[in-house]
Amino acid sequence: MTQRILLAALLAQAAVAQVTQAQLVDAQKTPQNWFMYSGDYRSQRHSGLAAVTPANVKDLEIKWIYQAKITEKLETTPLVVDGVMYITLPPSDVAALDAATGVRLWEYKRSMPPLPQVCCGQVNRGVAIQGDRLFAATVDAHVIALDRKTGRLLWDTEMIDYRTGYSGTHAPLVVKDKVLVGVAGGEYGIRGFIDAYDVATGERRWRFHTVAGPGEFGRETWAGDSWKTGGSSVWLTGSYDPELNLTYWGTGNPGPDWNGDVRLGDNLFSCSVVALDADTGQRKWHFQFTPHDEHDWDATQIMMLLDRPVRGQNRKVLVTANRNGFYYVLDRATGEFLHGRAYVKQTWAVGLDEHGRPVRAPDKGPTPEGNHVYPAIAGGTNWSSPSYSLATDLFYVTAREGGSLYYKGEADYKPGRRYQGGFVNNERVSGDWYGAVRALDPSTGEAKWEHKLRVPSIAGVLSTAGGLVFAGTEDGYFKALDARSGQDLWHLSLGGRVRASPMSFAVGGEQRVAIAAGSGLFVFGLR
Amino acid sequence: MRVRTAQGEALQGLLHNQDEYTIHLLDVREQVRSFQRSGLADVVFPKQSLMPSFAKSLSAGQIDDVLAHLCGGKQ
Repeated sequence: MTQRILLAALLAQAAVAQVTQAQLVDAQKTPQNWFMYSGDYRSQRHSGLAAVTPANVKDLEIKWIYQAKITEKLETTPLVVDGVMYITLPPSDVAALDAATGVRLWEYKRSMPPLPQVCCGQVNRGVAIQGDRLFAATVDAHVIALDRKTGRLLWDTEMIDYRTGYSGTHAPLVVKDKVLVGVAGGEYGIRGFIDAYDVATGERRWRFHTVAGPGEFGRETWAGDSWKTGGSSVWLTGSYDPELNLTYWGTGNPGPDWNGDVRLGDNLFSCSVVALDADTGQRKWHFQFTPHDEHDWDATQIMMLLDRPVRGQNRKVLVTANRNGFYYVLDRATGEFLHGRAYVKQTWAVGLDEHGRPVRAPDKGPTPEGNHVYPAIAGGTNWSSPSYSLATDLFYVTAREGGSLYYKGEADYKPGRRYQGGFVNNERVSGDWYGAVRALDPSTGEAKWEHKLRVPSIAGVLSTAGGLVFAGTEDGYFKALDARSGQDLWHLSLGGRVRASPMSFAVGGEQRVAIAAGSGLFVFGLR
Repeated sequence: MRVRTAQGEALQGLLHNQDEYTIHLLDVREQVRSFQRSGLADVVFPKQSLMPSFAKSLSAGQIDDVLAHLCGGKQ
């Protein structure tokens, strides 16, 4: 009898530990947890926790720090489920921590082959979760599943041979019985794709090529055989609409980056958002922000889903602040362009036409002598996550101001080597090189307030129901702003560059805010 | 660089370090002075060097010699 009770208790515990699809769909209803990279399927990076407010944020203190034994950047957004935190560590390790104390529960250390090619560091931005499993992409272009109680490897599937420049750096997205993940490598002449793998077995269920090949829609947008090395990588987590069963993914630059002569045409689906059927990977629609990009303005930025009135009609929209300097509002059921406007200084386009296609300014492409163009190479924003708060009805974004000199050079493809066709120098003109946290009207992109940063930041932002926006800086500060005004209410130097996006969770009934900086993960709470 | 505090104190020197919230200035007596940006009324980075001009006290050849010495060349 006693054994039966014990067994029942263990089974009940195991049942509680399962993360269900319903929980993922309703992620914002349990704000003590943080279930996925951007917080929920809509990618709003908003916490419903309200204990920390403008009135008491001055009482924030460090509760614990987890120091990783790494020299690479720590870019992870932690997940927290039922008091356990899951983080990734460069290059492709995973750790589980007690969310109350930071004590490590287990660590998965991946044995890596020598020197996988990654343009911007051997980094990883986080895990995905479902059931009793965690999922991660690896720098050597695999997808893995781990037992979330022990860290034991359950399956390990190679996406593609990493030696030709492919890698996995972003947190996967789990939708129903599939793990969705894309490949990085846009600077190595890869042919990008988004894959779906069976959560139980790791078998591939579908693949969508983000560079249109023979027999595929858009093949004619690549001159000659340029599609074979067309880049269009995927290195940030997508979004998902359960009602439409569509998943939305941003794609990177075409290859080579700065010499478009070898790939004449629009180069679909580079610098685009693609809306895919989550079950089959079939393309429902696409929207290309920067046709025939020559400035490396990836469109991998977070695709945020909102339901809101636009031109007097309630619409299901997708909004995004693009690296090319424009903010976009699209109908996410159809891909129809609804609105767009520049949210930073840009000089490459005179505007957007009625379909959202940029009207290019003359002579703004890269040249052998260098051409000074705004925004700079890192764009109007980069991979830093934006946030949306229903309470303020504002879209928060880390904006970057400044221009670069774009140079065109030879484009000679060699497998596994950089394939960029030029180079870039940042050109710092006095007074116009700075960063900002900006609050935009989500329907129009109009700036409502700005909190200026001395140096452009790559850190993301988090809004909370307490009325705060958390942000980080390149010189190592973590700060809390008033979500309604942008006023700086609290800050602390963490001693390392903030190259990650914040999140929030609760443990023991108390709100915590977490951010990675340098090689440490810092967790804050009220004293 | 030149700074003026909210209390009206004016200083000049070399920029020693700066970040989002602070400025550190090496003043003309080679003392490091630290300031919160919020406590400064004015921060100016003049284009003209703080070094005095040697145009009237040294010839062009002498300036070349000084530069050669500073650059590690032979006298």
